[in-house]
Amino acid sequence: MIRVRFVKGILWFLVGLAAAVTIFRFLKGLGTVTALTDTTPWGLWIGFDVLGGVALAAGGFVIAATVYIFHLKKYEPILRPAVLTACLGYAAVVGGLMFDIGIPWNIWRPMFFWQEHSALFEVAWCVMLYFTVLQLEFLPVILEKFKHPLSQTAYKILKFFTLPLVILGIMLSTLHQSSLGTLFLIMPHRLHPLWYSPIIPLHFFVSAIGLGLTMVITESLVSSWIYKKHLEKDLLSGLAKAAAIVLWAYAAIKVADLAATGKLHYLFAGTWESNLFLFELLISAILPAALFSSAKARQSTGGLAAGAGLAVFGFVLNRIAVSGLATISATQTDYFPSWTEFAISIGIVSAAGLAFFFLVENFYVYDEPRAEKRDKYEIVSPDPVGGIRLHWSSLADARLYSLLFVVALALGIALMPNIVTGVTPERIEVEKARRVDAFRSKSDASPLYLYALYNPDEHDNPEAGEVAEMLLIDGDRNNKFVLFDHGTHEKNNGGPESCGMCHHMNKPLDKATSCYECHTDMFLTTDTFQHEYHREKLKEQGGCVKCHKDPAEPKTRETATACGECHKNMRVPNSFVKVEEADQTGIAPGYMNVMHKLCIECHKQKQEEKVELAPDLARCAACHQGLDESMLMVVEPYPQPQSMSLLTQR
Amino acid sequence: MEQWLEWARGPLFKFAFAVMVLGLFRHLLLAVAGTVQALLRAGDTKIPYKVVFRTTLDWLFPVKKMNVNRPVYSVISVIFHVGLILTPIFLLPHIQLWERGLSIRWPAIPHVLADMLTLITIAATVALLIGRLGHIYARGISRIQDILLPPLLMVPFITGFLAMHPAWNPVDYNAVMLIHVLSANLIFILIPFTKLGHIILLPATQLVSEVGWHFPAESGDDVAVALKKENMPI
Repeated sequence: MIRVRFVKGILWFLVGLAAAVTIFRFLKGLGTVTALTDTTPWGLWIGFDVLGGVALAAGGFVIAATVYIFHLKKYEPILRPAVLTACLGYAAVVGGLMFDIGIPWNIWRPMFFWQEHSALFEVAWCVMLYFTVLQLEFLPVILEKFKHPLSQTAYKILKFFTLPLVILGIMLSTLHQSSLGTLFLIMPHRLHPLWYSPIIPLHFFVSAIGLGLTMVITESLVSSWIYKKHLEKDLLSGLAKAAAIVLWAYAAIKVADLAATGKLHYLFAGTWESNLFLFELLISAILPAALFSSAKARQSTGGLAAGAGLAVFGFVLNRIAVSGLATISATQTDYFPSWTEFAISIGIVSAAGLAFFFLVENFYVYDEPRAEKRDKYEIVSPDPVGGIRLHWSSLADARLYSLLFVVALALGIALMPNIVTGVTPERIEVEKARRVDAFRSKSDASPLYLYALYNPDEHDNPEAGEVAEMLLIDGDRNNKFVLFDHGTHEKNNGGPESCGMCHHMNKPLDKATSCYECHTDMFLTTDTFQHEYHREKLKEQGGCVKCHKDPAEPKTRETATACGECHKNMRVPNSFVKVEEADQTGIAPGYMNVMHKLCIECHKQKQEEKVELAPDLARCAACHQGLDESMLMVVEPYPQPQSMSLLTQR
Repeated sequence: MEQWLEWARGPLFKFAFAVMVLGLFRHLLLAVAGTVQALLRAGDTKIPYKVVFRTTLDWLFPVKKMNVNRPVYSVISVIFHVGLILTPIFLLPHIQLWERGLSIRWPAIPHVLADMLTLITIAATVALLIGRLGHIYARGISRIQDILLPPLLMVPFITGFLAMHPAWNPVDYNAVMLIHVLSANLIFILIPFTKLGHIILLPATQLVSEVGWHFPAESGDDVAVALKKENMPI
């Protein structure tokens, strides 16, 4: 039983890791734990968890059809495990969807708001209905164990409806497996031609049958290895024989489809996509089909494992390719899943695995429950912390698994970046304003000046306006800028003496300190006080004791010497810079807030003073004028540093 | 050095703290489950729960027990616990770290008091260690962790004191800080796996031993008779 414990231990660890990611996925949103973008909205979770998961669950309807419809009764021993695998597979799909849907609590909407034209609508309904049918198909296994009359009655009712349920299940999964392919019919421009096909629903359906057969083989192999139980090899080789036929058919359909639509030349184009497609076709269909065509390989455990393993891996790769890899050439965006996406995908599969073990050990999924028989009178081990001998036998495993789960959960939390676990969002560094040549003109419609970046070809008419030196203010360098007529503002506010109206004057002998030096982040508040800078500057003058005067006190902001003691007269009278005296040691607001506040308040005041002259002065467009696409083209590339003389350093 | 420090008080701290919290929670659940199992197994309905509850509370605040056996040792132990719990939680720089990371804060103790508590805790730890190793019976029942844990608990207090008093600090500030953070992280991780687990397990284990204490004498034999398993190894 050490094998079971080892496998379960690993699964619990993986579930713990996923649990950590789960916390932040639902607390902080999709963006914090995925590498998805607007151009790549479907990533690993859709490719592997949903498309892959649904395909992997195809074994349920395949074996149910074999036993109940084709009356091949010898396959009955693997019917229950196949239905269980399918049921857990769909549970995993639903679980995965909960992570991937941006607003998961809206999942009930397709039931009441019908969009008959949407392929996703059909997918949603089929998933819901088939998942329900699968649960009803499996429920008798659980009900038969309980002796309660109610449970027995329910068992009899479900048993009576077995055949209708099986038929319903086959119909729904036929619809559903193919309609997942239908989704991609609406994106021919997105999917690479090798994968896109008008009959892609058929590809999906046929491959699902092949994958269902190989998945049942895989599941039997894994289960018999873990529990060291007898392998029903003759049954599995029968399945492998059927799989060979289906896989050959799948490969033939694929190639014939390419030939019919004139896409065969893509196959050997030597591109990344063509290689991927060939690799995928080889390992998902051709190799396993060839292997399963040989009776000798079908009879050996190694042959079964190799063929089924290749097919399962190949078809999962196929679903991931369709939903993601094959769209890269069209969207031109790189996407590689973040570790958190892998953690969730693997964690969901692990949780399904643990559920499988639990049901197999406690119910008659196989011919008998596979749980370990415990000695009722074994000597109990002492509790490691308390030293007390409690009766631990049924909790002995819980101790191991919960330890692994807890350590993995802690590891997951620790691996999350600070931005996710903490409260501080990402910083957007602000950079200084640049001096550029701009063209200033007057329009008849407005008393305000019109500004544009100077372009010798366009602005050659001296009568239309004049060329002047201005500041290009684009703090976060996102190409959205304001041309600031510094000279005119200085002149209108009273000449060189007026710097202090808008600027702090922090440095000794300084006339104007640039905004970006303290308002260092575009949106977030930041420290006004730059500790490292001061420590470096004051090295010669005594270092720390210059501000932290009392060595007995802790060196905190509160106990430090006030800024005003060194920086005197930081603001002139009547300054537009509004600062609380205490704030000088505290927090500086974000750059954009400060710029807006400083400009808008003054503009509002002037607008009221000179209503007839500048009625629109306080509006956004007074500063943000004409910043259309063509303007953005002009500023790229940015002026080189040597060509910029910085106004702020005057 | 600074990158190591960032790592130690970033991801490593988060891991250690999470292991402590989750590990203790796990212990609590398992202890409760184990107690319930033990009770079900004993099938005894005559457990005086009121007495059990009261004695458990008594042990949580061991005022009455202090003068019994080794009064000095008991008093030092209580002082040690007070310093050990209060200082790290209510130290201003620690609170500021929580505020920076999670925007939560609570009142701090004055700096002078924190200094005094730190020195008292260090002294109490030394005294406890002497009391344990110097007493022949205490030494006899000591496990390795009983001897190794007190010195480990002293490390963050000594380094923390040095970090707050640069004039007394003979080595680099960052080095002292790194040892401070790393030793604290190690303690966090060890808590759920050593006797330090009594932080949360004390009420639970106390309850278990009290419950066990009140099982009827020779009840094991009765169980064996009921199961027709007399004279068989348990």
